[in-house]
Amino acid sequence: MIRPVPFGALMGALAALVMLLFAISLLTGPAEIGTIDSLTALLSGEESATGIVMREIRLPRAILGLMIGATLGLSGAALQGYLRNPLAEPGLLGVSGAAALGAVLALYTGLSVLFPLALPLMALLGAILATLILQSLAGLRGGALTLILAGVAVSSLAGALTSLVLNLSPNPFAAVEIVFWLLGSLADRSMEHLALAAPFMLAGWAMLLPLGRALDALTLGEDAARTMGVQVARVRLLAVLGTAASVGAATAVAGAIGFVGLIVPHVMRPLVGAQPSRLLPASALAGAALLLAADIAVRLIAPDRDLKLGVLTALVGAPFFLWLVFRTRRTLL
Amino acid sequence: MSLMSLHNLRVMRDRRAVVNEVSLTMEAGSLTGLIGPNGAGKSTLMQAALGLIPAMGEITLAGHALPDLGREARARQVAYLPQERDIGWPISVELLVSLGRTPHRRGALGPADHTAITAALTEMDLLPFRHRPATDLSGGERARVLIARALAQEAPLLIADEPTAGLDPAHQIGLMETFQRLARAGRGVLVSLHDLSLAARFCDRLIVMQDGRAVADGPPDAVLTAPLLRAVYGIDAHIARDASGLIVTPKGRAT
Repeated sequence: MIRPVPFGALMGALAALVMLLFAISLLTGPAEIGTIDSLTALLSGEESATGIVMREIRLPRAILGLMIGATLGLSGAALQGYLRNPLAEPGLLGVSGAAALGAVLALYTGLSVLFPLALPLMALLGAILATLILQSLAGLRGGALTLILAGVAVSSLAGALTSLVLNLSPNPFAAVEIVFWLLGSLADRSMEHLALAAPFMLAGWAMLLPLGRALDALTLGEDAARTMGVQVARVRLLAVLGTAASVGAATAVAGAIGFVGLIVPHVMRPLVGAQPSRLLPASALAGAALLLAADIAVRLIAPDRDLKLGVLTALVGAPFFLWLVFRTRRTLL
Repeated sequence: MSLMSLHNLRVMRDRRAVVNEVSLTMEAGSLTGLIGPNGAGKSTLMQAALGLIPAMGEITLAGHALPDLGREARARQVAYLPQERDIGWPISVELLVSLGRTPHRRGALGPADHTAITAALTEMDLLPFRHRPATDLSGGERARVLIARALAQEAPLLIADEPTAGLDPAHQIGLMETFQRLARAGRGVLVSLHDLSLAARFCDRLIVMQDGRAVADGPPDAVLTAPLLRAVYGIDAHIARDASGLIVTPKGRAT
């Protein structure tokens, strides 16, 4: 029997959780600021040190945490739905790998020192190039398998070039800087980062969220969906472009943060009765909650050691995924 | 007016005509069997008729040329059961059947949608299963769920590609009885089959395909003859008759 949680209640609970974690994220940081003080400083717009910490450091970090988490959860759910593959995740298309390569090049060439926004801009450029390659390889006529193979090819190429840059890095410090960036983090991101990434993420969401009904029909395969009136080529285009825009932008400002996009849809699936259209918004909210929680955790667990967000999500995510596979292996195999 | 008519349909693959100048019409109330050896072009013919793959020739659905019909208008005319019976996610039987309403609705399910879904579940005897995950069902139950989805689509024409493949004899007969019932209720049903006795006993008309061409078309009695089976399948068959029709049992390869 399928007894999903009532959908309205689930969405309400997830939204409340996201708001709570957003508030906690605002209140978490090395500067010891009381709850009341920080909220008044945030809302009053005063030019005190507290006001600046809240508006310039914590607010962009919390908003980015929310938006990037939502991006990863949503795109993971959309890709799993389109590809009908529970192992699909946002990194599959190679867009995040290419974005990371762009960022690494900005670090390597020193452009990021001359001009701080060079890093996310180069990363976005990498993501756009990867999307163009992906579209020309998997095109409008290609099927799901072609898309996966093209994604693997783009991903491997970006990974190889990233390794080459690391290999050629002039000194160990440059290499360490690159590696640390690759681990993924939300620390010290500014409102400029947010302004750069937010439009792409919002555009991506606008392409992915309306796919729900078509993804429902795709549960029965591409041919059945097409004979039920679904324009499968359009669904593929929107899934690819929506993921590329939102995940490319997310990677550009935060680095590669793994496992959120893979795991969140798996956790949400039983709660929404496996319905792809309901999985999309549920995974977006749950992804936001998960990334906000993880970003709070890295600040609490090791405030002095700069524990990277991507490291924590992978550390928690991989064993959790293993447990999921163990629990559902009968249905997966 | 016929539900579907194909005129000189031709599908090319690697410069070879896998469907070659096939013309046929499907009328309401007919259960038509499409038979022929593997590779004869049965599935390709179905996919071309549905507009899933490019084809030359004319395809008319309920009097309208296929290219003039939008995707949803086509879906309201003809429902398709592909050979692929994978169900991607463990959604409930009821939700799966409701997918058949996709071409009929813009927003949430309305009263007409619920009526169609309940009717389809009832017709396929699935009401007790409706909250079960469709992926948990046995092959025979799953086949019924997928047919119920096509029924919920409320299209006058149903095209099913080897719906009995992989089912036990009782489920095969059950499925053919369902198609017969649907045809008697006024739908047109086109099914591809490999079991010749099943085709002979349930279909009122058989179309035989060989190398992309329709080589015979008529009532089972007229079509299923020893010379035809030898020419098309390369087999010698024992053809017997009882009160409800022909029984065709292959004896061996034709010598």
